Amino acid sequence: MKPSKASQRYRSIRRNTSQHCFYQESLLLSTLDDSFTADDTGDSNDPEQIFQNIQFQKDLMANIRCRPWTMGQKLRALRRAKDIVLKFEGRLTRTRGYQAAGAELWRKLARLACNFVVIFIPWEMRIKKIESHFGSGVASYFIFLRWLFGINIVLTIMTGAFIVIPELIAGQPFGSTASKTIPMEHVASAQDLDTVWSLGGYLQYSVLFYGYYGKERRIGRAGYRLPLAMAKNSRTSLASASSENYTFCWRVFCAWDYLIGNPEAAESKTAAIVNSIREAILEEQEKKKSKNLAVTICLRVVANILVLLSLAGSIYLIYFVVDRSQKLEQSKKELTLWEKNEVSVVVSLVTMLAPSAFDLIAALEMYHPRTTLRFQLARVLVLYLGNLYSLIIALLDKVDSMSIEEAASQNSTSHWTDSATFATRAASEEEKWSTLGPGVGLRRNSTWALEEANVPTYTSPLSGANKTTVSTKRPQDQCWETYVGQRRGGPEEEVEGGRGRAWGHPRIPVFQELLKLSIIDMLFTVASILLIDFFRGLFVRYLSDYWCWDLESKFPEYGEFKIAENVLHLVYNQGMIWMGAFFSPCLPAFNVLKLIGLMYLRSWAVLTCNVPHQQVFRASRSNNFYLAMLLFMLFLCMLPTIFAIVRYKPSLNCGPFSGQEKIYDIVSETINKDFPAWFGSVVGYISSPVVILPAVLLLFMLIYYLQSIARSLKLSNHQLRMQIQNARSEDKKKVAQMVEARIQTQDESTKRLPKDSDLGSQLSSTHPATPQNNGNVVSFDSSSSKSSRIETVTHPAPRSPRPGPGSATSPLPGFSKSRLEPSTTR
Amino acid sequence: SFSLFPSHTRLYYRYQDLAPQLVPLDYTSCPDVKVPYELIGTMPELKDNPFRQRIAQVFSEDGDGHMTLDNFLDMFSVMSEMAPRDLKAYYAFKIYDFNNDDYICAWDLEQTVTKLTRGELNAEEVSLVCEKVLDEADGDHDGRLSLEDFQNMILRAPDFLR
Repeated sequence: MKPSKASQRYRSIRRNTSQHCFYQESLLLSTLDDSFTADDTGDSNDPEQIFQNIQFQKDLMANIRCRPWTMGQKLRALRRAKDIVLKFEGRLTRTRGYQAAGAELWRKLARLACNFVVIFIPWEMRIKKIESHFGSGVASYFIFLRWLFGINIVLTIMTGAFIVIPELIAGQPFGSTASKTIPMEHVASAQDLDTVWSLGGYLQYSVLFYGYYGKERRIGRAGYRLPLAMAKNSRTSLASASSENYTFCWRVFCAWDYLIGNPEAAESKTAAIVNSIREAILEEQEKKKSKNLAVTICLRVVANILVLLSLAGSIYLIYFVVDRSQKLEQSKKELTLWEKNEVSVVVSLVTMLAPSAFDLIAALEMYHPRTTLRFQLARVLVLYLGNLYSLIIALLDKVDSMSIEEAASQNSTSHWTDSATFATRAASEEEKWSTLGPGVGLRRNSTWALEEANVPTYTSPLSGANKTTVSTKRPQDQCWETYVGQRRGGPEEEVEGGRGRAWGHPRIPVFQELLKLSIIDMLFTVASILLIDFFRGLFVRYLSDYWCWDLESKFPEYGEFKIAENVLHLVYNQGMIWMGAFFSPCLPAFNVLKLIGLMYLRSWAVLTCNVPHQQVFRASRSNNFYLAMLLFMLFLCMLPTIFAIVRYKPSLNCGPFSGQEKIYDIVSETINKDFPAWFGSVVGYISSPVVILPAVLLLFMLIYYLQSIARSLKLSNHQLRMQIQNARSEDKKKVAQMVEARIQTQDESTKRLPKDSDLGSQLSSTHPATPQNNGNVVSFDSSSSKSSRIETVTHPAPRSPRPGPGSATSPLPGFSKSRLEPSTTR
Repeated sequence: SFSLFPSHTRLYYRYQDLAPQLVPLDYTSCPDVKVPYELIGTMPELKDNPFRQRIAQVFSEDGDGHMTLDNFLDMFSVMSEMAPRDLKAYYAFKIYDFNNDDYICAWDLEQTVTKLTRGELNAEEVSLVCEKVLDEADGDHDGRLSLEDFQNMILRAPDFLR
């Protein structure tokens, strides 16, 4: 026998409305008691019906997460749905069951795999901890750091696999060729700390540097160029053009970072929210005020001038320092520790101090904090780029002058061979030095001179009479590339008899400088973290009791973690590495170690010494910005490398490209000799202007086309948004009108409504209203909410059960009802 | 019931930890057990949250903050990172609706702002903020925010992370 009227009506509704409004139905499903088993439904043998039923249940199962039901309801609905599907699918086909089981197993596996993979992500727990203390802004810095770490590892692997390992395995062993052996007189000093510090000695002659690599042409190495950064994290930011519309709302409703789990952080976050609200209030008030434009503009101009001056000053300073160090090399025999490291120290100091200076200057400008931050970032970026570029240019200038002299000297000396007569040469070197004696002041010079390898006694290669000084060079010294990757070597002292520290030759510190710079930069970072953050924290915490004013809230306070500047620092660091990566293949490996150290140090420092921000920093929008900056930096940093490759002659004696006019000649050589003839001619044809120019033209056209598409898409996006807004406001107007119309009809019908808390009446009244809803439950779409609003407007006592078999679009048991139902029935 | 949502097992143990003497280890008999709000409010995830009381009230059976296991699971599933934005927006609306009338009226807003800022803002600032919020988000100009207004506003926020 039929259980109740309710179930009858339920079934009739089910039959009629099927997929529509399953939100409401399933709601009813869950509120009815469990006597409703699978047997009651699907009372007909109509396969179409059964199939629809099954589909409905499957949809329900798939979307169950998105329903705003309580857990109990969800579980019951899910169980019921599964029962139904299992029972009836068996009638239709068997295999679907297996499919479903397979799919479920796969889902379970996928979930397991997901959970498992998280274990392997390095530093995940650490970053989560930081996120909970400091919010997602600071955590984004560490995520960026981790990403850079990944990139460097990839770079290391690639350089390692293609360059270092083949060389190690198959190249000439250490000691066989001239470029791989340490000259005799250096061996004694090779292990001095000083020498190691300046990357001389064993390190210089190791795989660390370019000069080690043999000359044999190998396909893998010949055409190798720096790998491009793999930018797979292209995060699409939610383009909200209406960003200015909802400022207060967002600050109130979205400001709280629910990932915070720590009272101090919560307090700071509260303070941050208070500040941001106050800021917004201030802005609001300022909009009404008129500003004193003249003074502001004046101050801003002054600030900009100061900034430009300091930028120019830093660039000049670096150039000056590099120049001075070169002159020092030439004039003095022994350089002090300071003078050796001067360039790196100066560059690092500037890098540390200038951003703080910019901060102070920015206080003059009185911009909105967001604008100030952007300006700050831009200025710091320009500063870093300027520093790097001026360093490179200064150093390359030296290369230039050296290569000119080298070319000149080449004419006046005989050539040498890279032979295995190392022993004789060593002997002859010593001999030579003793012949020269102390009288001849071997002074620094930036000339390269060649030595005769085989001649036992040779005159010192006074390369040209017009040279003012003389120096003896060995083939190993002529690797300007190595010294580019290294740094200016240790104390340059000529020692009679070859004892002591005896590098003694001007090196061209082009890329050699970069590694040294990287090391010193690391030291400075460590020092600054310790000094600025750690000691400051100690000072404030323990001395504030004895100090005149409250150290913790006024100057100097605890440090904050400056996200933007630290990220820029990372980008700058990476730029340095990219500049030198070609000439020193192990630079990325070193950078990996540096990043690991930096990660541990910074995460410790953040957790120990820093407090969360006072100003709310919108991290989510900046991800693309950082990525863009990084790629831009990559491009800019590759330019000097490419320039150096193209312009300068490789040194004659070391490195894989030695002996050629230009480094990239290797490519043409390879093509000519190793590949079949037709390939060579094809490549030759391709690289002629006939093909290149149209290709470039085509690229330009493509860029223009893509850009115009992007522009038109933005425009249509904006227009669509406007349309949505208009449609919504029109709907609201209609609703308001309908409301008034309803008020009269409702008033009449309230008299005759039965006090029936049975759902049955509601069900019948829902019936005509349901077609309005589409089945999209996830968006609580306007019609249902409108109707619920109608209900509450017409009936100020919302808790009473709804009336109205008579009303046409009577209120639906929308979600407000859903909440009411449980409360009344429980 | 755990087999349907495996991650719930972990949460069950946490629920059990809150009140070991109250919560039985065996749930097959579906006991009617509620953990009182005072214990729930001490959980680390909620302890520092200014809205913890509202959250517990919204997810609890009777609106009083005492939660059964089902309520508990519900709460965590909505607050988790995997829940869809619409769902979160819906529950956020309920949380901020202090008087449970399906609208965020001015009084609700005042409560929200006061709780959020822990009383740091003075009355004038609070009222200014409420005024601005209603200005910005109230689409139909009835002096309060309906669910629709709220959703419109929330779903456009770029960092509605939670």
